Amino acid sequence: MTTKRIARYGLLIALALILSYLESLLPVFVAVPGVKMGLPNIVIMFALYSLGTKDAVIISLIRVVLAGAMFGNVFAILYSAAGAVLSLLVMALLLKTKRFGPIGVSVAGGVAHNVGQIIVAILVTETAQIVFYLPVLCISGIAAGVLIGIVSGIVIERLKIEDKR
Amino acid sequence: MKIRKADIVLVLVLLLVAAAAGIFMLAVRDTGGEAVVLRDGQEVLRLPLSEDAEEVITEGEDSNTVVIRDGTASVTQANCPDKVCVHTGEIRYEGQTIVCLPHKLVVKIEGGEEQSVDAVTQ
Ligand SMILES: [Zn+2]
Repeated sequence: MTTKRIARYGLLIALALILSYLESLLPVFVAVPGVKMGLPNIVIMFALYSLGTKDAVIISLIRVVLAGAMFGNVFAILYSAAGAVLSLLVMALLLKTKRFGPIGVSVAGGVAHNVGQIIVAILVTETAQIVFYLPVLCISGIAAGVLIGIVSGIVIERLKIEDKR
Repeated sequence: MKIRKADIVLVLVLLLVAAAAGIFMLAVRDTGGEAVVLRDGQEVLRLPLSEDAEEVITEGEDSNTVVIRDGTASVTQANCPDKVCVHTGEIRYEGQTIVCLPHKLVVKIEGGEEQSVDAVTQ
């Protein structure tokens, strides 16, 4: 692990944490606890495109644990970890197909994020009725995904890192 | 920044699926179950589980508060001596009951709410 890489990790994790904090200040607009818009996804998108899948996974998981410890609780970590893992998996797959731009990747990630959180919510509360929130969450996930895709796309273009794609 | 054709297709397909699922769930939910309150075997009240509600059922000195919340029915307060009805908690499956023996009161779930939820989750 090079110094440059460590510095980059630190910077991106710090940035993701600031976005997590900003997001924790926003009012929760849905009734399901822990479901968020996914502002830190801008950093994850950047890591995915500029560094690679492995680095994006590491940054995402460190972000989830630290943000949960600072702005949430164990349940918050559980919720966002489920969302983050599923979302990254889908985003990495879509990126591999080379058919989608940042908007498509981000939208799929946003929807996967909400699906992952709903699955955890159903398992934790043993309430199948929570599945009724899914369509609303998907639509809000799509809207947030488009916005985050546009922002990430611009950031990725402006800050091209040379050593990897 | 490039917007690919695949991006637009993906967004449209996801929106369509989410909207269809939402409409389907609303339709399914409307046909959902009801909580029926019986006293001495006689129906005194019928509440749809899809709408949150709170009803105080009284008969002389007897009083039970039936609450419908998030698709479940429960007795949250009662002045019966044993409070079995309160401790039963939330019910939502067809055929489940809350019984308050001292007040001869039964809250029963009718209709297929839980079946429709299973159909959606499977
Ligand atoms: Zn009772």
